[in-house]
Amino acid sequence: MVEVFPRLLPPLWVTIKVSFISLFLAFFIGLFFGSINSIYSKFNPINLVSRFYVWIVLCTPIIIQIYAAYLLLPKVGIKLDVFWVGVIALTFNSAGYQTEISRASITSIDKGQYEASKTLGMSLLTTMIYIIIPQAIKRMLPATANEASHLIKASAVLSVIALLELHKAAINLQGNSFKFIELLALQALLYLPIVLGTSYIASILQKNNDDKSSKIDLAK
Amino acid sequence: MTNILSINNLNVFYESFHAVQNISLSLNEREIVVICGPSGSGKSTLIRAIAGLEKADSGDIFINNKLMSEKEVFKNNIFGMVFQQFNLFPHLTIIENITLPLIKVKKINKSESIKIAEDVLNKVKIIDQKDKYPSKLSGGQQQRCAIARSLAMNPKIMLFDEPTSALDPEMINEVLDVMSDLASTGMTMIIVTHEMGFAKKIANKIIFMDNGEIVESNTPENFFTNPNKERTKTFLNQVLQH
Ligand SMILES: Nc1ncnc2c1ncn2[C@@H]1O[C@H](COP(=O)(O)OP(=O)(O)OP(=O)(O)O)[C@@H](O)[C@H]1O
Ligand SMILES: [Mg+2]
Repeated sequence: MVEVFPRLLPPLWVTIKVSFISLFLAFFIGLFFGSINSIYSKFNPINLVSRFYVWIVLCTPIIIQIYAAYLLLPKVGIKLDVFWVGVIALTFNSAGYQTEISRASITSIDKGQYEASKTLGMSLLTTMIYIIIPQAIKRMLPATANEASHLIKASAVLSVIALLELHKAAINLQGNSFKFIELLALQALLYLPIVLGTSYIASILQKNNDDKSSKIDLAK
Repeated sequence: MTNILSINNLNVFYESFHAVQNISLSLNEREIVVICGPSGSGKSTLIRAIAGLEKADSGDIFINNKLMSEKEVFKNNIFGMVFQQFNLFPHLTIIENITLPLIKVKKINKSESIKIAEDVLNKVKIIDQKDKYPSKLSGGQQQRCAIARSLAMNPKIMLFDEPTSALDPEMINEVLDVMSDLASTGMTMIIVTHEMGFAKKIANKIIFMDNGEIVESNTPENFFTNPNKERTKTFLNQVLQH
C-alpha cells in the first residue's frame, strides 16, 4: 500500500483543484442569483429563470449533470479539456445550492439596514455591495463550508467522464493490483483531511468574524 | 421666515387600510415640530412617507417651494432619518458607519470624510468610541452615532421616529440632550416622540394624530394647557397621569 500512496497524490491535487475552483465560481454565481432573488419579486424574469435553474439542480442526480456537461458541451461547439468539463459540471451543480444559501442569508438581514442606507442616499447597488452582502457572507459561512465538503465528495463522480481525480486513480490502481479494500480505505483516508480541513478553516473564519466586533474590548 | 417643507394632502394606504389620511403640514426653516398620538395612529407611517420610505398614494412634497421627486429627495440628502432601532451597520466601526456614506454618496475623499466624521462625533460626544463596533456601545451611544451619521450628510431637515423608545430610561436624556443641542444650532426637525416634557421644551408646534388624521396642531403652551379638542385632552390625561 505504501508504494501506491505517492501515485495517488497528483490525482488528489486534481480533486482539490476541481472542487475548489468550482466552489469559488459557484459562490459568485450563487451570490448574484441570491441577491436578485431576495431583492426583486418572484415574477421578475431573472428570478423565474434562476428558480427553474435551482429546481433542475436540486431535482436531478449529479451524475446526470456531469454526463450532460460531458456530452452536450461538444454538441454546442465547446470543446474543453475533461478537467474544465468537470469544473463546469460541478459549478453548475454547486451554484444551485449556493444560490439557495445566499438567498436565505440575504433575506435574513434586517430591513432597517436597507432603510438606513436609503435615507443616507445610497443606491441599491452600493447598499448590496457595502452593507448587505458583507453581513450576509458571515451568515453564509457554515452552510458554505457544508457545501464545500459535499462538493469535494461529489467530485468523485467525475470519474465517470474519465477525469483522473482521486477516485478514478484509485479505480485504475485496483485494476492493476486487486487490493480493493485497501484502496478503498486509502481513498477514504485521503478525502478525510481535505473535508475536515475545509470545515476547520470555515470554523476559524466564522470565529474571526464573530470576534471582530469584540477585538477592541479584548485589547483593553 | 422661509418655508422649507410643505406637504399637501398626503395619503397612505396599506391595501384598503387608510393609515395616513389627507395630511397637510408646513414647516419653516429652523422650526421644530413634534408629532404625538396613540399607538397605531399613523405617526411612523407619516414620517416614513416624508422620508420616502413609505410610498404615498397621493399628495405632494415641496422643498423650498419646489416640488421634488422621491429620487431628487434622496440624491440631495434633503432628510436625515433617525430610527427607533438605530439601524447602525454592525459590520462597520462607528467612524466607518459615518465615512462610508460620505465616500460612496457624496464622493468625498477618505481623509476629508474622516474629518467630517470626527467633527460630528464630537458634537454627539462619542468621539472616544470611534473605533469600536456598534455592538460594543450602549443604546444611548448607538443612537447618538446614528444621529451623527445622518448629520454628517448635511441634511436640510432631520426626522426622528421615537428615537428614545428603545432605550433604557437612564440613557434617554443623553439622546434628548444631543437633540436639544441640534435644535440650538438651528436644525429644522420633525420628531415623533412620547417624551412630553421634552416636547414642551423643544417644540415650536405640536401635532396630535389619531386614526391617521391630524386632530390638533397647536403651540406647546396651548397644547398642554388649553387644547382645542376633547380627544387631545383625553390623550394628555392618559400620557401625563404619572
Ligand atoms: N406595512 C404595513 N402593512 C399594513 N399595515 C400597516 C403597516 N405598517 C403600519 N400599518 C398599520 O398602519 C397603522 C399606523 O401604523 P404606524 O406604525 O404608522 O403607527 P404609529 O402611530 O407609529 O404607532 P406606534 O406608536 O405604535 O409606533 C397601524 O394600524 C398599523 O397596523
Ligand atoms: Mg411608530
